[in-house]
Amino acid sequence: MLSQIEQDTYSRHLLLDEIGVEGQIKLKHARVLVIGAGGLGCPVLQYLCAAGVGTIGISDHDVVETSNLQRQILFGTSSIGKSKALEAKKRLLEMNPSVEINSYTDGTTIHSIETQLSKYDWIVDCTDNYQTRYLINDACVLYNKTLIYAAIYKFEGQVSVFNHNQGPTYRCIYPERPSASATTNCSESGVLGVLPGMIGTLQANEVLKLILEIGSPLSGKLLLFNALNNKSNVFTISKTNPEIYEHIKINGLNAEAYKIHCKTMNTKRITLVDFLKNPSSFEQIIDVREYHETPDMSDLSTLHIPLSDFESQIHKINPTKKTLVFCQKGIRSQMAIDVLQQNGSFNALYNLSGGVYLYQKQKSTL
Amino acid sequence: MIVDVHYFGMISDRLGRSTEQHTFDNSSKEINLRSYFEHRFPELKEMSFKIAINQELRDVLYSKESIHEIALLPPFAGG
Repeated sequence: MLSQIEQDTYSRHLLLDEIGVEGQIKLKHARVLVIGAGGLGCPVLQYLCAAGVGTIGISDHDVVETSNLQRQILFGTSSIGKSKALEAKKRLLEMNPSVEINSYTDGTTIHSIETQLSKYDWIVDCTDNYQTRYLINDACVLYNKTLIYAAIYKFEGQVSVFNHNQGPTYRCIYPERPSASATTNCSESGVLGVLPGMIGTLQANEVLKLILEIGSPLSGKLLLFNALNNKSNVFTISKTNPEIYEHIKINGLNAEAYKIHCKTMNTKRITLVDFLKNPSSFEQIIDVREYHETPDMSDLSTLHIPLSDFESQIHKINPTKKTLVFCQKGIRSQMAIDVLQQNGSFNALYNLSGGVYLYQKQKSTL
Repeated sequence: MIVDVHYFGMISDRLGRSTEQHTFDNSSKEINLRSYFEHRFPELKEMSFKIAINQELRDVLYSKESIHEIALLPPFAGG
C-alpha cells in the first residue's frame, strides 16, 4: 500500500496505466546500486530517487572537485572537497526523505563488490574507467545481476542493458580491456556538460522500465547518441565469447584482470606518507595532469608535462635522475611511466600511489 | 558497392572525419572489414573498436551481400 504522502508525491505516476499503484509499489520495493556518482551518476540518482525507488546505493570513493560542477548537478560549491557518495546522499534525502540511501565511500573494488551486489537487484554502471567497468560487468555475470550501462566521450554517449535474462554483456561488444594508450577520460578529453545529463537520463529510464516491466529494455542493443547532430543509432549485439563467462563462473573474479593496466610490472610505487618523509630524495618530480587541473602542485618544484602531450615533451625529462611521477589518482602517472620505460633506460621511476587525490585527503592529518 | 562509413568517438577524432564513403567489391568473396580498415588506417591497429554492418555488430562482409552502412565503434571511458 501507499501512504497518503506517497500517493500525492507519485500522483503523476499513478495516473499512468503502465505504472499505477502496482508499479509504484514495485519501485518502492526495488533496490538499485549506482556505481559512480559523477556526470552520469548524478542524473541517474536524481531521477531514481524522485521516482520513489525504495533503496538506493551510491558507491564512489572520490571527492567533489571544482571541475565537476559543470556537469555533476547534485553538487554545489559547498560540496568541494567532500565525499561524493555522502554529498549526493544529503542532496537526495532533501529531495525525497522516504528513500533509503546507503553510501559506500570506499567505492567498489574486487574486495567489496560481492557484498555490495548482494544487497541490490539492479546495478547501474556510471563509472569513468575500464578496470571498474570490466569488474562490474564480470561480477554481474557471476552473481546474476542485470547491469544498466552507460559511458560518454566528449559529445557522444552509449547506453545498454547487460546480462539481463542471460543476455549479452559488455564483453560481447569489447571482449578485452582497451590498452592504456587507447584510454582517455573526461579529465583529459573534455565533455559537454549537458551530455552526461542526457545519457544518464536515458540510463535512468532503462532502470525504471526494467523495474516496472514496461517497454523494451536495451538488452541486446547498444544505443549511441551524438549531441552535436542529434543522431541516435541502435546497434544489435549478439551473445559471444561464452568461454569468458564459463571461466568467470568456474574460477571467480581474478584480481589481476581488474588492475590498472601496466605494460611493465616492475614499477616502483611510493606511498604519500613515505614521500613526505623525505621529498628531497627525488631529484625530479613530474606532474602529468592536464594544465587546467587543480590543485596547483608547483610548490613541489614539478616539471609539468600533461599525459596528452607526453611523448612530444619526453626530451625534457632527465633519465639519470631519481624521478617521481604523479597525477590525480595514480592511473595516468602509471601510463606515463609505461611510456618512459619503453623509451629508454629510465630505471629510477616511482609512481605516487593514490596521486594528488590522496595527498589532499591526507595532508591535513599528517 | 558504395557504402557509408561512420566513425565514432576517439576513432573519429584520430582519423579527422566522422563519415565518408568506401567502395567494396564483394561480388566474388567475403571481406574481413577489420583487416580492411586496419590496412587502410594503420593507427586503428592500436585502438580498440567494434565494427557494425547495417547496425549489427560483426566484422565480415559476406560475398554478394548488399549493405548500406558500416560503423566503427570504439569503447567510451567517461562517466
